[in-house]
Amino acid sequence: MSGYNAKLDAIPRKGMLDLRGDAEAVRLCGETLGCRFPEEANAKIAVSDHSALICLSDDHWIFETADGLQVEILQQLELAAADQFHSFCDVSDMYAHLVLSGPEAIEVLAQCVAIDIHPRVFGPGSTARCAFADTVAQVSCLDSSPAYEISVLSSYERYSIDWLLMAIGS
Amino acid sequence: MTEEFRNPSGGRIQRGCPISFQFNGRRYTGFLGDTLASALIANGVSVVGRSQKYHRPRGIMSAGLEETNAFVQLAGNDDEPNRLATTLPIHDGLVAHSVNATPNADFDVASLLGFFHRFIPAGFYYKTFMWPRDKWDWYGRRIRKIAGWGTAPAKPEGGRYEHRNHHCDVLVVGAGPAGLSAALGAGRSGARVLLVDSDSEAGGKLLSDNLTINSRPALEWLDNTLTELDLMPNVIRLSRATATGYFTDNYLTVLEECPDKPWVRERLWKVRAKRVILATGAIERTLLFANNDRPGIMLASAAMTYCLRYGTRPGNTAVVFTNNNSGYRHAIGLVKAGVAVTALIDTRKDADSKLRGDAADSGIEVIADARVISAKGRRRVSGVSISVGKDQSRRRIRCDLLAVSGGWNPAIHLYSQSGGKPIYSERIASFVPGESVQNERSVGACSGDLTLQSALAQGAEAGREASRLCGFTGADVATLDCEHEPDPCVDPVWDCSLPGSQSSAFIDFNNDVTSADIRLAMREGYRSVELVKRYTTAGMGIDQGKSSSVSIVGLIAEIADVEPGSVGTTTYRPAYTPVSFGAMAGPIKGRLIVPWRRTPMTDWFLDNGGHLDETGAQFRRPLFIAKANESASEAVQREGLAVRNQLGIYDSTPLGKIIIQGPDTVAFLNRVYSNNWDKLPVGRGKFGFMLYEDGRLLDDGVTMRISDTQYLMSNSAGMADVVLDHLERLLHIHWPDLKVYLTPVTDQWAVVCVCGPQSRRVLHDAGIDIDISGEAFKFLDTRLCTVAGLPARISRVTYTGELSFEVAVATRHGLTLWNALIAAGQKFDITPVGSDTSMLLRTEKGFIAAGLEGDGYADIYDVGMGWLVSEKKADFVGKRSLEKNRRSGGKRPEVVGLLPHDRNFVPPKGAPVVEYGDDQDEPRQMGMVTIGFYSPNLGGSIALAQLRDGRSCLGQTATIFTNAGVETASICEPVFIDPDGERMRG
Repeated sequence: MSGYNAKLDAIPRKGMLDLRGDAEAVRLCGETLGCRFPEEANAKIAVSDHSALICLSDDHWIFETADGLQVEILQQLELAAADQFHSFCDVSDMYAHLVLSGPEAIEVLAQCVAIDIHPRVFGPGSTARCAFADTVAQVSCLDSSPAYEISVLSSYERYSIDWLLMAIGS
Repeated sequence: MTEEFRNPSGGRIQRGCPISFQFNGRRYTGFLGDTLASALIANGVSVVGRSQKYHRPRGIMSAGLEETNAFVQLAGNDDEPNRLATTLPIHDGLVAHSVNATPNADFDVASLLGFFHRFIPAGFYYKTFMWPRDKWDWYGRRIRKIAGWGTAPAKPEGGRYEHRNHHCDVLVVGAGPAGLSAALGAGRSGARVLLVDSDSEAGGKLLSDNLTINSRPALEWLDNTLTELDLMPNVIRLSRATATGYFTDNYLTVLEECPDKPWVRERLWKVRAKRVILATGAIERTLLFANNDRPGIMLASAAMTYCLRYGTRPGNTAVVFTNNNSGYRHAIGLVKAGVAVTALIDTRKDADSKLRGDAADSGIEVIADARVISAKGRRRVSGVSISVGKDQSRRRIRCDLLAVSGGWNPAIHLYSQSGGKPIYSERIASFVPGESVQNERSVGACSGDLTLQSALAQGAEAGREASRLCGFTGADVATLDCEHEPDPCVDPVWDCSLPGSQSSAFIDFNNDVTSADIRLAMREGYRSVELVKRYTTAGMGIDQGKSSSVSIVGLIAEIADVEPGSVGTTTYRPAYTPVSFGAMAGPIKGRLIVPWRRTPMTDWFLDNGGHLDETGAQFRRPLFIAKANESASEAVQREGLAVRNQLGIYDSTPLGKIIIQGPDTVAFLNRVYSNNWDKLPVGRGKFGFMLYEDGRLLDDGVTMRISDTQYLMSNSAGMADVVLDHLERLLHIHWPDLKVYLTPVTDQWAVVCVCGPQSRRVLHDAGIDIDISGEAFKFLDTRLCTVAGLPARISRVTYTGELSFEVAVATRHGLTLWNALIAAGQKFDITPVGSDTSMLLRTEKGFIAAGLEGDGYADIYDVGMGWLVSEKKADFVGKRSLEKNRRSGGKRPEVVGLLPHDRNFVPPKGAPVVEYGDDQDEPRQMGMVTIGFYSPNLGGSIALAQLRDGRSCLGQTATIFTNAGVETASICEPVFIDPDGERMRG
């Protein structure tokens, strides 16, 4: 054994929308999606079985859904918020998604991020946009096994994989 | 070699696990649990190294991190210099040798320097090696050779260095009685506790003293405490983990040696703690007398440690020299451990009568009001000369161990690093922590309270309080009773050597600084402790003055006849102990050192001869794509010809892309660009220059209006992040009233640019569903379309001056598009081009690069782009400064072209351009070359340059200085090809 008991997998792209807007635009979008937008940075809520909303700041959210659904949802949201101050962008191709899992995944992740990832603080459902290696990532705790999803800019995908494999020690 | 100084029993070593190791070429045996120092003592090795300056023989002085003498070089897989023998556990196959000794520590040629010590005191180097001035480097190399401290590893080490981030509620530094008690108090509350200790075994002074807690051996309490802590899931306990730095916001670094994973050599923990409890203990200090550095002279507490913890005898016949009560405890302890203590020399007249009685009961002769004035022996102490009483009568006592107890220095280093100001305590004649500056508290000996009872009580209370402040309910920790320990009652004597002594009394063993050096510095006018330190180097060695710093302050105070408190301390800086470069660097090496951004085409370039380099924003792009046996220059020439005459294809993905949306977007663009954006229709783009507030060039690029509400701004690859920060700053700070959102989307799109006369045809052949004729799709138009079956946005922009089309598709389709265009372009001999070629082509066209021609000083007029400044706009970022530049007059650097008279001479970037005055003697610098190429399309070399008042020099001859000589060139307009732009608009 020359590395941590953890493994790294790449997962397929997701449909992702970058949503920014004022309170009224957000309210209208919430009605369209059938949810109330989270208001605290790094809060993540499930919108449906296959979609979720992540709050990045008080006027900035990421909507995640299955790849392919984002185009139609974007149209619906644009329609809903047409008269409001907003900016909605399809950013599905901007991100690559990796899953780090295994009994020692937390030891590996602790090498890459400076945020507190102790299970008490960063348990399943938690997410944070943070410095990762020498770039930025959206890091989410998927379950207590533990497993973490790490979403990085697609241009950093290979670098991030190399970094994580180095951290695992394989 | 037998272990003649190993007691038959006792100690915490595992006698069933013998370990073989080598030191200075000889084989020795020790036991599991031994440090290299304890094993060497057990084997009777007294000389372990040589001092830095005088190469005096040195022995083991301490039993911990404060060691000043026993630095060793490890060989083999452990290859590493300057490891402390006192903290280095032995293992099978360990190979170590002394540093700074030639040929070896027993006989060192350089020890001859010791005979001349009177002629080479502190400051000798500064005064002597000044002449001739240019020889300092020569001197420096030789001095370094003589004073070296080991050698850096020549090969990559085994194992890896790791960095780990960690958060906790309570960080406890030190696992002595105070630290353990604090960890227990905090741990029982449920708080997340990290307990770190530099020793391989927790317990601190409990391991090296016969102490009791609740009338039971203290080691029982230690075992129970460790068992309880280890069962707590909320407590992490690290051994051989030294807190090396204490920074702002309770951020500390902890260097863990030999972590739990065998493949990890060292792990640097980056700890962010809500509360910090410092329980770092205290360091015993030595006393100053002639030859106080002889092997066999060690700290009394260290002698106890070697006896009780390691089952060794540092000597057979000992003398204890003390100025405080703890010397008595140690003397009695040594007797119990089997060492014959013949005398206890106490500088005080009236030591505690009970202690004196206890000593006498142990057969120790107590000599009060006495001082050791010198030690005898060279490779090992053989005796001491003492001066007794007011009449200073002399006496000699034989011994092979001199245990010195000069008082205790609380280890306030981390406290000081946290920003705290130490204060002087007369009670212990040392410095103690003052007020806490961060969320920190010092407990136990490091707070100046040296008794076990206080350590346990303070620790427990601090642990409870820290956890309470973190929101946890502190659990009770039972009050513990310890035997009475008398107050130290230190007699602050700082120098016992006789005036005029021919022998040195060392105050800083590590840097060979003597009390005479301190006195000399004071005589020469250095009064501040900081200046004395720098002049003499006292306290500046690898040990960072752990055991010497307070003695230095005390001696300065004594000489200056002031209180030590008024002298103050020097600044304690990280790192507390040496940190290897490997641990600092961590695991990041090779291609991971700098993030490498890729585009979908990166692998294609790597497979097809692309020479990649970073060209901005951490993207690595091909500079050129070379064919077999083709040079870089040949590849660029070939690619440049292809674009002008046929067809090139270029990966434009790294260009920055920002979606701008909101009702105030036009107002925003008008403010950030110098030109006017009022009437840009949907489907059109416009070129703009962005300026800093002071008028300097920031970036240029094309912004497209892609819908009624959205604009797409493109930036130079290298400036994308800078521009985004600039724009966000303006919006957030200066114009919060503007309703504009910025969304960076660089990674969303892969962008392929086809350029050259055949670029329209290749798009037709690849399949495009819109009319891209010159009439239907003009220069700076943009449309949504389908290219090669892929949804795309096509734009007519150019960086080469050629007919060009940029096709953007979702990143996932980038390589598909690239391959489709490459396939469609085969009939036109399509040529992939790199960014060096792109530079050549933009130079031919005279296109300005804000990062090159805008050298950090140039404004938009200087680079010949003044036509982009709208006179109608009331304001834009940089306008005021631009106007000021114009008003102030003077001759500014302006961009011009250069046509070298030698058409094969390529002016190098940065080469100075000069002109000669009427006298033809003194050249006057006009400016510099900003870029130069041999243009295959023009059949000769060209360049752009920034020349002072350059536009007024058009037609004149300039002289270009290079390393190879002087060349001349004609100053011309900076556009060499297609000045009317017919090609790009075609």
